Amino acid sequence: MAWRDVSSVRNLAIFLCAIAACVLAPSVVRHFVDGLFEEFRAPIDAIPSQLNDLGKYWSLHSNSKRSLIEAGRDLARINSAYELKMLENKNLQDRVARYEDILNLPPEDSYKFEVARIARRDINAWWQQMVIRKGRVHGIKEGYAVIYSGGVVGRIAKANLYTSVVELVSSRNFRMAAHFDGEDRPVIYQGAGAVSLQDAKGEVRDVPGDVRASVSEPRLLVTSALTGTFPEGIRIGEVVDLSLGADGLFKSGTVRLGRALSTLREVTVLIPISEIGK
Amino acid sequence: MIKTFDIKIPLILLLNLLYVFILSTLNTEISPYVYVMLPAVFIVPPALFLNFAPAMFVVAFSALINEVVMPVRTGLVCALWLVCAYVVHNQRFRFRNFDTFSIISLMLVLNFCILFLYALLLPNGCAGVAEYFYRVAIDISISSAVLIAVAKFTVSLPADIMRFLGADISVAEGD
Repeated sequence: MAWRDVSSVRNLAIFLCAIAACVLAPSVVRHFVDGLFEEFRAPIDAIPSQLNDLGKYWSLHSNSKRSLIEAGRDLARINSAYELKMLENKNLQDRVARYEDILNLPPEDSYKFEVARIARRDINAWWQQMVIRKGRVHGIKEGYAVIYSGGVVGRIAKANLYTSVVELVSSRNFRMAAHFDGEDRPVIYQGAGAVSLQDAKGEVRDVPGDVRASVSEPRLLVTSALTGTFPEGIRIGEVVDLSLGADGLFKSGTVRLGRALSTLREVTVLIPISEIGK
Repeated sequence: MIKTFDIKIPLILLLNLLYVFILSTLNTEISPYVYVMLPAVFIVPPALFLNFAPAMFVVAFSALINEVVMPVRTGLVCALWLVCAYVVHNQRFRFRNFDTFSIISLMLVLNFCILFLYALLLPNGCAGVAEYFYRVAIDISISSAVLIAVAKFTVSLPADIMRFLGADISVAEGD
């Protein structure tokens, strides 16, 4: 009987210790290690991605001369097309610079594009984020915009030395000002969190009552310069339904995000030119 | 429904709330790597110690509280937990002597069934089907390992606390 009492008290003490540890340990541990763990395990995240790159390199290395010649010929054609585009781009840039000079406009804020490979994806009910293989040493800081060819990917949530955590556009924690393509009235966009496989969604709120959208006639939602971190006009997703809210003034609806979000291999971090060197 | 007040009801409810807190804290810290899910911990103690109606109430309440911190279909989760609680409650006399092996087996089987049904019925966003099942397999394996360590402890804790307070409790006799 006495042994059972001792065992009861011991179990109760263990349980109370567990609760105390949950209350105190996270903040205490974070206070002392402060990102040390992330830096320590960064190579573990990066190794599978780098091994994948290496595997791809050796698989290309084993290609026959004939296929390499063919690939080189195709690349030469693409390069010549790009050279023409570059000339065109330079002419347009010169023209913009001349107009700025004539109209006495301040130069437009521009960004340096830092391309980064994805090392790990955490897309689940708890987190909607990914880890990229570039960090503070590459000039990346918290809050910077992350995009891909299809539009917005997310925002840098945490910048470690060699890796960064990107909060995805589908995350509940991701919220930004946006507007519909061709309009300038701002609306609020927020990620919808975890949904079914490969079907990322978001929500749009504070939409003026006269705006309409449906599955057959979706409206394109783009970033607004009001956010500060994203340049104007980058695609967020398509609004596929809008309904009037309880206040009867504004509408809210669902935003269909790009399906490629969950299969991305590379993203681009936008580093403001004004921040470089700081 | 609940004819007489039973101190076990608020006790087990409180313990379940504390389990939610502990698991939430744990998962917040480790979820980028693995996600520990232990629904059996919330279902088995009330289903064993409480009468039918209080057990269902405690399990339903725990399911709703537990799923508040995780954006999934709470109604479906609650229904799933209630079905499991009903099954365990009906078989509670088989576990009257709190044999360690049988308790661990019961909780492992229950946990595995629930997690398997979660994976099928409540799929969450992932890069692809293969990655999804890889993640589910890792989560189930780690959750099962944690459950083996805590299964007996969580079942005996309400009895230990009651004994500490001066009362002995056993498997519910009512209903």
